[in-house]
Amino acid sequence: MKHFSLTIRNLIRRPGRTTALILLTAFLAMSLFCGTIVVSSLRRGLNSMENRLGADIIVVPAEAESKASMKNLLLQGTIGTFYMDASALEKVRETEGVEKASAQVFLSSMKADCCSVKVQIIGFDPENDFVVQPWIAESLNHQLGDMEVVVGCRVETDVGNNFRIYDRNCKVMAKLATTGTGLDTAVYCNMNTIHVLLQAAEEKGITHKIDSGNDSEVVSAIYVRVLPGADPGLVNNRLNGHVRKATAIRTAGMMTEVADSLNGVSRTIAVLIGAVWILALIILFIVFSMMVNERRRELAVYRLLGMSRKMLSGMILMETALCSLTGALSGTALGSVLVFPFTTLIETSLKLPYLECDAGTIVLCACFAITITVLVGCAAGTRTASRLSRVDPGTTLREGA
Amino acid sequence: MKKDVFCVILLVFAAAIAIGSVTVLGPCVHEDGSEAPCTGAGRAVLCGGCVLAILAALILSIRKPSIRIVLFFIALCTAAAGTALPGTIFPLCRMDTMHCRAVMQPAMIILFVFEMIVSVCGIAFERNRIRREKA
Repeated sequence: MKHFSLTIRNLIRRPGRTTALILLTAFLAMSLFCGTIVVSSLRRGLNSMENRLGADIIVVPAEAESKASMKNLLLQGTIGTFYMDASALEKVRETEGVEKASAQVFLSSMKADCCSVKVQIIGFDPENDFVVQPWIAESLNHQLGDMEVVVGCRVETDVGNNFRIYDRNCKVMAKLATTGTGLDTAVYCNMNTIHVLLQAAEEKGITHKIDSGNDSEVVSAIYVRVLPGADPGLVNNRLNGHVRKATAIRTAGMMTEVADSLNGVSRTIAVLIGAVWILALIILFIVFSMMVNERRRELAVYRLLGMSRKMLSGMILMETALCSLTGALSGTALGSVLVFPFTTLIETSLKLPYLECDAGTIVLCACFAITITVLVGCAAGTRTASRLSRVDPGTTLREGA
Repeated sequence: MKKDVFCVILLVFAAAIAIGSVTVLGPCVHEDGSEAPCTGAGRAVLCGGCVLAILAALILSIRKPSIRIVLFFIALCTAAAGTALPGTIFPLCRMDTMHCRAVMQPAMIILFVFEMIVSVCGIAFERNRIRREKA
């Protein structure tokens, strides 16, 4: 206890040196904590996207690839409005190797007086759907009725409120759980509702018909699940040959692309953290080396007063550990302030699925960052502590005189 | 100089709030020039920042610790109210991905909370000063 109070007094006596050490270790802890949290959240987002997708193949109109790719729609919620003839659904179902096929119709609301907010509206068939329905069932225990909608977690409205789309009021029945993908900003409804909305959009002068059909005969995307044991690549080729004016995209390929981008981001973050750590460690060693010369006389006096070498090195190590711990705690706190409130900004900037870590992972990451920082701080201080404890008090004090 | 450190920090954060609310930390801007739902919140935040800057300037110009405590307390209340300005008192856009929700709201709440912490530190410092002067 006596040594502890001496350590505290030593730290307070030199506020400049103490603040510099705390700031340096805080910077180390912050970079490690923020990097770990961002990479973990990206990995969680990718897993969530894999779980939510549920389909092996997506069939979209041929022009959709250039107009707004499915990847952008899924990842960033980019609004896509493309249509093809509804007869494509039957053709897909007839294709060999297809177990289930379910159609969706996309519509974009306007950022104008007629609509609450500009969102992607997705109409699906609850009877045949295997993509959205299981996910909606987590939040809603009955089937979605006409003029009822379910909204993604990022659409700011509450359950029971009315959501205005093209001057039509839709009742919000449920809010979906976070997925970390662009689908968090979408609004889901059944096919009857989407046709009413398509009609309402038409009245507002927004045309979406294809050359050969009317509102009830259009679909935007067909989600396909292949039969167990069937080769998705072969089914994909068959669909490309069988369905005219449409392109079949394998979701596995899409996921690989996303995973590759994620690995790229993870590598960049790891390199940045590495660079920050190397730089900070060099500074930390320089600071401690300077401390050896600066405190030589002070420690010689302690030795003359009867402190053993072990006690002396213990005191220096305690000083370092205290500074590192304070720095690590404040760095982690600062990292939390920088990362958690700006989740949406990070997600939109990275353009990758980003799902915030759960509390357990956050605590684990914080503990990891704090432990590593304190250990590194102590390791850097150990050399100084052993050098300073070996100081010969007589010689040192005579040199200074 | 030492006794002015908290007023200077208060002034710096207030300037960051005021300047931020009309630049990078401001409300959404519609491409067609129409007013976004969060414009009011942006203006309110700007007013909050200006009030805090004026309070900080007043504290800097006044030497008497008791008056400084009162002014720090007013700054604390203003900052506390400021945290509720974007989103609670004034509405924001209805999508989480909008600039006002993704950037303006969290940044302003953080800055106002920092202002609150600085105000509390300022009050504690001035109280200590009074105690020391009495002793």
